[in-house]
Amino acid sequence: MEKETKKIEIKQEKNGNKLVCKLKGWLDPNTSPELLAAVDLKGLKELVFDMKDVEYVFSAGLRAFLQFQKMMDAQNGTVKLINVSDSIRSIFEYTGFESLLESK
Amino acid sequence: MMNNLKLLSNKQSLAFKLSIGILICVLVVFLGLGVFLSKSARHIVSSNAEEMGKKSVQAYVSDITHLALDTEQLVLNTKNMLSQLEDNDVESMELALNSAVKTIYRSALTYTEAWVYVFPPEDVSYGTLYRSVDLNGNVSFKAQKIENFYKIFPWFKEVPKIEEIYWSEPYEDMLTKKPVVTCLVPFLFQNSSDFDGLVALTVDLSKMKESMDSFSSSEKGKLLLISKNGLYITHPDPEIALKMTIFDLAKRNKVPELTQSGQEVLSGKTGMTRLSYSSVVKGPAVAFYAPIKHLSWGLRLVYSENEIFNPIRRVQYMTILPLIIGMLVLFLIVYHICHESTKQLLSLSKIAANYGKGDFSKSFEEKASAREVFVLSKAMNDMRENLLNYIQKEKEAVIEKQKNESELNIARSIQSSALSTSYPKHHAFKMSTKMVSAKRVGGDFYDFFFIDRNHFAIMVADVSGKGIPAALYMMKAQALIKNAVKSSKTLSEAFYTINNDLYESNDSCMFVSAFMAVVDVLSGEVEYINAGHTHPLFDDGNGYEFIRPEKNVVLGVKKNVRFITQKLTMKRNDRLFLYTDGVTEAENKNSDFYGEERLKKVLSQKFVSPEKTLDHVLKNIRKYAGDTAQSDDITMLEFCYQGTNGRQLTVDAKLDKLSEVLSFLRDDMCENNILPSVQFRMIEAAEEVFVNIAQYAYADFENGKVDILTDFRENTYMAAFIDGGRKYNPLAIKDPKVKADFRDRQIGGLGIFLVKKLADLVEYEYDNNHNILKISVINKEK
Repeated sequence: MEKETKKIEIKQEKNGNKLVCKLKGWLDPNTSPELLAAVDLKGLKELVFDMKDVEYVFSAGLRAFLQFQKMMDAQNGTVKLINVSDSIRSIFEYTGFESLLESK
Repeated sequence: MMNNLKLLSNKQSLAFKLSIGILICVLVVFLGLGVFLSKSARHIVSSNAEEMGKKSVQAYVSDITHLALDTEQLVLNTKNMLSQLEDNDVESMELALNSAVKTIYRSALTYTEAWVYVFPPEDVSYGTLYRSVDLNGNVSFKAQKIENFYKIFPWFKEVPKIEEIYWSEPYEDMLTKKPVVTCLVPFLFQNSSDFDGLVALTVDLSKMKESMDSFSSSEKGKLLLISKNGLYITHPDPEIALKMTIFDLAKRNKVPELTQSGQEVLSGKTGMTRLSYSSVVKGPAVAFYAPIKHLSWGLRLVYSENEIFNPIRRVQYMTILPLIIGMLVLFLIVYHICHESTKQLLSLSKIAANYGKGDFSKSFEEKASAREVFVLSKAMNDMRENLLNYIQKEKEAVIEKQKNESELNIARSIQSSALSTSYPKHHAFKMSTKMVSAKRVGGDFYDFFFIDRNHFAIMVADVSGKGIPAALYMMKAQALIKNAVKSSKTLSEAFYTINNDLYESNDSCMFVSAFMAVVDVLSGEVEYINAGHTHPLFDDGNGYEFIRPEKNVVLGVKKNVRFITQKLTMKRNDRLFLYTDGVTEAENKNSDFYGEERLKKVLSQKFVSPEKTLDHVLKNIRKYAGDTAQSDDITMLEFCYQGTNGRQLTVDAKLDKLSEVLSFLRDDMCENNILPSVQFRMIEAAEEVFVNIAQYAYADFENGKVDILTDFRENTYMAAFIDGGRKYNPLAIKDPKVKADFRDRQIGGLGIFLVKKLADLVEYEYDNNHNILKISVINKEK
């Protein structure tokens, strides 16, 4: 049984005004504020989250993505999630957050 | 009631009826008697009157007859003298006449005149017309040659009929206006062959009339004299006297019986006639009559009918008043007697009516005047006494019964209030209890409660004694046991305390037998104790068998007892059956006990739930007992262990325990070979649930815990989250609007919504101050 708190790993790759965040771990009420704090949105037009290594997205994670979307909206940017597993996709779909997902 | 009153008012009182009846009878008898008496009195009176009348009449008849005979003698003497004379022998004639007249004169008051008429050719009348009497008393009279002198008399026209002594019709004297009658006899001179003349002697009837009139006025009867032609010689009415005959009068007054009566008397008969009307008395009358045979006259004595019967009437009148008074008195007496009796009857009936209404305050007076009423009163009083006794007894019985009943009810309500039927919904076990109180409550009780989250206690106990004391003692024992078991470290210690407490406060020497088992719901380990109670049954999968544990002493009789506890382990679907002696000692009509063997046998059948099992056992006991009354409480408890295949984790309700919780679940699911997608759903759901509890269940200062119990059976994986925080049912939260643009979304409620979407079954219950949320997923690809 793991005793320590699970952390999220964030790898950021900035290319001009496009930022690609590679996420690993899960997004819960502990890790989501971490993510929000870690990403600098200044001057960004395109924000992409690579979800390939994300195990779980909980409602706290959804709320984080919603916040990113609202902030990017404010600076006419876009938010996109890529490499979303079917399981996680279902979470977005159940809750009406599917427009965050990249179209297949 | 109203009808009865109406009916009553229509009815005359017995007294009245009886009095009237008696009066009528007496009246009828009196009337009959009165009529008979009056008839006989009338008869007597009328025959007396007849007799009297006859006597009076007879006297007059003989008077008149004598007068007639005297008169005739005088007339005949004169005639005889004259018949010895020669024709024209005037001297001799005068002599004879003189002698005759002398005789007549002696009774001058009786005779008015005497005459001798010599028929023509002599045509001489000698008579009393000019008469003179000398000193010697010689009467001289003069032959009066008055032609046809006698023709002035009313009897002249009767002359041709005269052959011997002849009485003329009475007539009124022309000069004196007195009623008179003339006696005539023809005579022949010597050698003569034809009548030469008449001797006439006129009799003054006024004396007779006066005598009769005076009789008539002094006596009640009126005497009437009638001539041979029916002419009234005397009559109080001057219009009738000497003017009308009896027949004329009968015709005028239309009284035919008068005609008949006249004919009878004139034909010489004596008798009595009733006249519907008589002019003499101006009304109905009775007439007695007798003939004066010598003259062919009749004498009638007429009585007014009223006059005769007046005495009778007077007697009648005189008797009527006393009769009426007598009747009244009789009525009053009879009425009084009857009324006295019936009054008592009436008051009897009033009192009896009050009895009917339940008012027995008055008794009957036993001083009734009538024997029957007295007897009735006495009978009624006996009845009253018996009734009062009966009612008193009945009242006492009812009060006693009510007292018992209310005591029983109190006892029963104490008992039932202490017993819970709300079984905890726990995935690890199912249970049911059944208690049927006897009429007289026996003090059985059962109890079940969680000692802590994982230790569940079940017990069945029986307090000695019955009724309210037993019920109260039961309550006390129950509270003591529950408290002690909850607060003690071990079961043995708990019972040590309980026993001492009960012993201390046991003034009425009651005791309690009890069986308690404490089940670790996670492990199925059971620790049990038997304090002098019946042997429970345990089904370890091979059917129920009695377990015969160490039988400790009953609670409350001995101080400082160390109770021995024992252990057993329950597997899934193992069962425990606890009961009181009301079950095994239920009696049938032969007073045989139901017994352990019968119980074991009936329990060998398996039912889907403990409730069904208990129903079945109770039914079987009832069937066995039949009509025999239940003498003791019947109490049963069945506990069916469901077990748990999962594990348990208890963590602080803190967010930083999330990964620990999720890892625990993930490991558990891997062990149970749950499909990854199903695992994913469970983890997603469990996260939301745990985060919710961690964030909201406890206030900040509380060190709240969360228990997570897992279970996997029948292809369903379940995780139960149990927290002792504020009561919160997440299922009651409204779903968020998922169709709205996600940018406008309210964030609240999203977690629970996700749980409901991801899990196959979500259940919530609040039990024992704990929120229990169970999330189940079916191990199958969706």
